[in-house]
Amino acid sequence: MNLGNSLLLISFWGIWLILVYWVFLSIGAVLYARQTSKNLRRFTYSPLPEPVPTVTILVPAHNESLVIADTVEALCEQDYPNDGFEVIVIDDGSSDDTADIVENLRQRFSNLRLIKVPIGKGGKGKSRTLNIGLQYAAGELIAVFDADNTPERNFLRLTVTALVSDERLVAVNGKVRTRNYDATWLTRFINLEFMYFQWLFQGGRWYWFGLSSLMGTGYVVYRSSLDILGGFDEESLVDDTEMSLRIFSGNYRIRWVPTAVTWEQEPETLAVWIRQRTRWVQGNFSVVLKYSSMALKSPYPLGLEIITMVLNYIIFLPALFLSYIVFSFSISGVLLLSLPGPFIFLWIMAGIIYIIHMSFVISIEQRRYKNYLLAVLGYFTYAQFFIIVVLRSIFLGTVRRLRGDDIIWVKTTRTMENRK
Amino acid sequence: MNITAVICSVNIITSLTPPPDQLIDVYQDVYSCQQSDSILPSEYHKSYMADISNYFPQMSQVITLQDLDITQASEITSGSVPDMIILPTSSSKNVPVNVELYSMIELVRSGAIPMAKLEVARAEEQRKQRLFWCSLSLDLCPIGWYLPMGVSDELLYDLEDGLYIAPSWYRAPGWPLPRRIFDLQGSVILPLHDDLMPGGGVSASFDSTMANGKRFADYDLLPASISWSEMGFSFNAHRAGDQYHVTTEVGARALLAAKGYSLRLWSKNNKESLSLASLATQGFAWIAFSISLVNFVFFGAIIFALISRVTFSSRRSS
Repeated sequence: MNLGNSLLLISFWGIWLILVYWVFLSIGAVLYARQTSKNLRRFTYSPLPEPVPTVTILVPAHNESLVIADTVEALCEQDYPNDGFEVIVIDDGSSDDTADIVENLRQRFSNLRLIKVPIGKGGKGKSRTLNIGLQYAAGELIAVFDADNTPERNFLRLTVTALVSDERLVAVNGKVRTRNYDATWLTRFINLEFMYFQWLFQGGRWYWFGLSSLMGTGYVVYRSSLDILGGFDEESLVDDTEMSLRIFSGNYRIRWVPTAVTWEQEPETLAVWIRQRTRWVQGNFSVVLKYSSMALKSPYPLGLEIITMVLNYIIFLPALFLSYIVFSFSISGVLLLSLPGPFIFLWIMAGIIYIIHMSFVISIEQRRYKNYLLAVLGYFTYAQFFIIVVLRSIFLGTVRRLRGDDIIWVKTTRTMENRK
Repeated sequence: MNITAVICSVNIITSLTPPPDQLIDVYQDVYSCQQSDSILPSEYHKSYMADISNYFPQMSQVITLQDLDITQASEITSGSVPDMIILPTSSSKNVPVNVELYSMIELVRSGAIPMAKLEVARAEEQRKQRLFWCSLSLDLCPIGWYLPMGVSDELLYDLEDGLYIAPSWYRAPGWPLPRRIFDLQGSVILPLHDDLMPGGGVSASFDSTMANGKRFADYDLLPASISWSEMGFSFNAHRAGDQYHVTTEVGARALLAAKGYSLRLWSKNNKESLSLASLATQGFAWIAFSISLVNFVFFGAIIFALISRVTFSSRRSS
């Protein structure tokens, strides 16, 4: 076997192992969608348990003046007994007027509280801010929202009902949708990506394995479980993934609730998006390293989750990059590819399957002809940007380790939305 | 998902690749090497190739050459197979003989190394060939271009079961052959490299003798410098002693380094386990294709029937 075929072999396995897994998850997503559809009425109109669990909603906010007012209003106007929940905004040393905006809103909402981290001592990461908020939280349940989220009115009711109805669960995560999906080409693609990711990886995994993970915003978790787990890991760049794996390590479960929807502002420029995703990938790398040794002791659910992350981040995307190298050297005549097999058909099928999975998600979430066209376009454009993100993450992570630098939290830049 | 795009694209590009004649022109432009018409092995040769392949499934060597030199091969009996050549490892003197196929097999079994002598009458052709070998010794030959050149379409058809063939040496003394082992469409081409013959002319031998320290000793036959361009980069190699030093830009140096590594890896890649991996890959490819096809049908039916009627969209979705 020549070098070209050997590299082809490596990249083929690296890519198609995960693709076959995705196909498997896609079936689960369909079945979960069907199951949810059948029980939609029950999901939507289930009464709250008695007594109503008290909830503290934590909102870390660092220079969020552009978005915080909408977030607070959406949270405070939840369709949940007013004495059953409180909203705590932790102003993480903002230098803008985030705190003033929240302070003004307190006159309208009696269950809104503001905690201020002094300027100069804030901006050290979401986990640290959440831990500060936890000290003031009185609820039996803790809900976490990013400062750019506007949940629908029934969000809290649906998630709390789902959480308390299953004893295996310690947390539930609602569905995150893109609020500014029509702002730029990038947000249109992000909108599709979020729908795709959640139905396949959250819905599909839940259906087959009873396994979902936290998504950083729009989740509710038992306070008692948080205390047992030791709060949020301040060293981690991805509080959601880290917390998910810690929950799995205790053999607990997280459920994704697609009927509870929160709308989030997504990056409108590529530079902001790349910085945000680099932080996610770097954080996920660190978390995988941290928990990989425990995966053998707990093959399910922790081991399964680690394998999924390894396949996604450490095998699939590098294999994809390798495939580009193979391609480049092949057309330049340095490598000769001669491996027989149905590769041409697979190439066509891979594209079709990606698009048809996306079309399925679009069909149940946001049926617009534009989205179907974007699904095709995104396969050749947006999906490829992730290679840049992973390579950038590897490079920056390596440099950071060599220099011995501390992990730096990179805040996602918000934008002023054009409200119609 | 994109590896299949790679394969498909390569197939498309291959179909658009210029035919060998044009490649030959390019090759001549780049290396100033003479090329010759490809020669189909005779039916006679083909049958013996098959026999040898059976005897040496792990390392068969069939070299089609006109003139044969054998040194210290007393066991060899004369025969009528003029294109098989054997040279013991301890050779120091070349003696032209004809080789019986049976004897050759025995010799190879006992550890002999095939060696071919090629008489090159014209100094200009010698110079061209040496130029080529020098560039090869620097890992500079663009092998992707070379291989389709070195093996004609007809010979490609016969490249099966690990036969090693050095084509076109009958009438083309200037025909270059790579110094390293190459794998082409599942078959390994074990090439020859040249060596300076004491009595003049150019001989070719396998790389193992080169590894024993032989070098291009006659500087008169080595060009003082070699210049060429490749993939947009310009290269200049200057001779210093028996080595060449390349002067070029950083990107081109990276290209040279990459090619050097690829050649080394390439030569080590003819492993049995990789053949099994190849089979497993083909098997998995078919499984993946079947799964993909079923998945496509499944989702196609769902999207256009039931599920598309149901929506979980919320107030903001249109």
